[in-house]
Amino acid sequence: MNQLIKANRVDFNNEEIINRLGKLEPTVNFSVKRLVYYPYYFFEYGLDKKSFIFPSNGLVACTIDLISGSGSLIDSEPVFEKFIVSKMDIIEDLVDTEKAEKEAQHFIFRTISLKMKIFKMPNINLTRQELFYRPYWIVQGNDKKGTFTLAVDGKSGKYHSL
Amino acid sequence: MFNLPMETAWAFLPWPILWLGLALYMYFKLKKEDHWEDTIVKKEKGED
Amino acid sequence: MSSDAIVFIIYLLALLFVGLYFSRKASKSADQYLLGGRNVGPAVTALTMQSTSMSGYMFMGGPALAFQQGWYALWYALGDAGGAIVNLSVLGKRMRRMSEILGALSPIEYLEKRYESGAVRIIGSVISIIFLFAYVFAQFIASGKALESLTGLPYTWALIIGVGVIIAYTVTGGYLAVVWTDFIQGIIMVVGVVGIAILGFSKLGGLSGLNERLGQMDASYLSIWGKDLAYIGQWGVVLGAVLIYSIGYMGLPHVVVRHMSMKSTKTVKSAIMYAATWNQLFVFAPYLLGLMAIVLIPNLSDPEMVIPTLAYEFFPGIMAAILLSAVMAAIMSTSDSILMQTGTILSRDIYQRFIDKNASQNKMVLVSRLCILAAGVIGVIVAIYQPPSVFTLVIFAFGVLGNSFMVPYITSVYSKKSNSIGVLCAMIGGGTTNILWTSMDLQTITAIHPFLAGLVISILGMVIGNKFGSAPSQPIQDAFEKSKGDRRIPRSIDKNISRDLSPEARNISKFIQANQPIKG
Repeated sequence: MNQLIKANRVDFNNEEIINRLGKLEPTVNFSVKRLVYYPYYFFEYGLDKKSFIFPSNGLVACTIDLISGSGSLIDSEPVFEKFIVSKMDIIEDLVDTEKAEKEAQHFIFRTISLKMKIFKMPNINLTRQELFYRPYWIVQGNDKKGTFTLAVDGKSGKYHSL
Repeated sequence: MFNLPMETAWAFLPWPILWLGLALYMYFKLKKEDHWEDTIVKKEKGED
Repeated sequence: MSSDAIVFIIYLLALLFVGLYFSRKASKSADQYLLGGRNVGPAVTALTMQSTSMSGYMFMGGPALAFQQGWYALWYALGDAGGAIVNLSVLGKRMRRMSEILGALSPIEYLEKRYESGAVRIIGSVISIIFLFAYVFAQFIASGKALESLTGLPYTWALIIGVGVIIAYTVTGGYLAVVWTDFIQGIIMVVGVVGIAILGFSKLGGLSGLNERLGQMDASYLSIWGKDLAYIGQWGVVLGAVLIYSIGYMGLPHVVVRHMSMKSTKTVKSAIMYAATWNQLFVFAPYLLGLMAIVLIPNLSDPEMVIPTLAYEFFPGIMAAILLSAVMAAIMSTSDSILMQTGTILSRDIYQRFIDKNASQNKMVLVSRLCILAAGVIGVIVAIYQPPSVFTLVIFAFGVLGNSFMVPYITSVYSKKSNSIGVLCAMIGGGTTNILWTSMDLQTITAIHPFLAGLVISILGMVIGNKFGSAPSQPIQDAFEKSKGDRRIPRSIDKNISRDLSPEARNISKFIQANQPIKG
């Protein structure tokens, strides 16, 4: 069964990932097993126009991980494209939209208060929200000691052990 | 040295060099760990 | 209004303008979000770090000690010059991994989650709030003194205005505090202090000339044991003086929090080099100025006014005024980050956690603001009626914080078996020892520095307390092992893991196991 989703484009294809990991550790034999799609919610907020420090197009944005419900800031406007992928490769979300938006607001406020060192919170209003998926390569490594698995972010190339 | 008694000179003067040494050591230690990030940044800039 | 006060106001306005300019510029490009893409280079990062940690202490406390004790004061500078490097080397990576695994947002919450105890959070919050405020009080006093010499107003008025400015600045919004402004201030302060030092040295015939003159006045100024050899043979005092700033940083919640938010080692490694180099240039300079003042202005009535007095001595009035404005601005930016930190601890770790679980964002902001206001009022009253010296207050606050939290933070990532009872004993034992030692002046009797005494008791508390608590739960023990690095994986691969992906990795792992086994 297939499904149409919005997702980040894969910037690092499977050959490239193998190639790069191989350069990092030549003694390990790497192979890409599959590609999975991880759900996030993207929220973009505009800051109150009256605030004198920001010009009128002041925007902040974050993504909410729809499984753990934790937020992270993003630097630049993400580009989503439409893909048709197998349902088997899509991780199901556990956090509903309402909860995600609440967490996003909390997260933005917290970050503003920490990063900008201000106590007078600017008013924020939602300008864009979108459910999207991020592709992760599942890579297996084999060496003398055995096998291990990595998840590699197909967009940024960053990875973590599983 | 610098008209300081020997004891004082030995107690204080070597420290800046020790600290800079430690900083250099940490620098190279961290540098060794940055390979992956380097290749990613290069790709983003389109050099690779 | 004196012309120097006008210079001060112009200086603040200029900083405001620069801050505004850069933050507007940063938010102009359409695909850049405001808080995200603030990429600043390692030099700016390092200097920004410097100017937040260069507080009133460096300009008032340090030189005053050198003015009173001679070369002995340099013991404090030695530790300070390496504190940041030690901190990063010991806690850096492990703590970052641990806080990601635990999902902790504040340094106190981190302790609660690692040691699985609400009591740790309450006691940790109380200690950090009280002594972070004490640390800010020292900045208040310093601001009063800086403004006194800038405007010529009496101390009390200068103090009230100084604290008023700091509080207003923090509560209404620290717009000046954007990185670029800190960067400019950092440069002015370093250039100013080093400039005074160079002019001073040229007048005195270099370091050798200075020492010769000092030796002629009183040979004990040149010894490592203090004026009149007051601390002779007291290694317990000297050791404490070195340790407090070299390892004490690992117990400061507002410093430790940096490890938790550190994303990449990329800027950090260059920042270490810059910071280490700057430190060797800058940390010693204020103390050396204190030594020069012994020769150049021996009749100075308030030792903490060494730098303001020397600034006016060597620089034309307007340059001195700019330098002092930078000092004042530095005090403001240090105070506001600490006030923010305490405000956050109060509202998040105490108010929201224990009093009102569903407090709205606005209510929490209000709580923080009221607390900061209260702290300001108390601070002014204390500073007017019984002003301690900046030096004493900073050493005290810094020492208690270090004694309470250093051992818990280090054992959190280096000792698997450390548990909540051990931590409580270490925090309470270490902090209380320092408080008693300082207030009863046990140093003169025992020849042991309060910081050293607190450190020993804190370590003992941890070791003994651990025997009575139960071992940490399995998840925490697993987290501990993970924070050391993943053993199954080759080192070269493990080193480059992006820790910020750890929640995702956990969930992907679950998905794969439930979904279908990977076929080899």
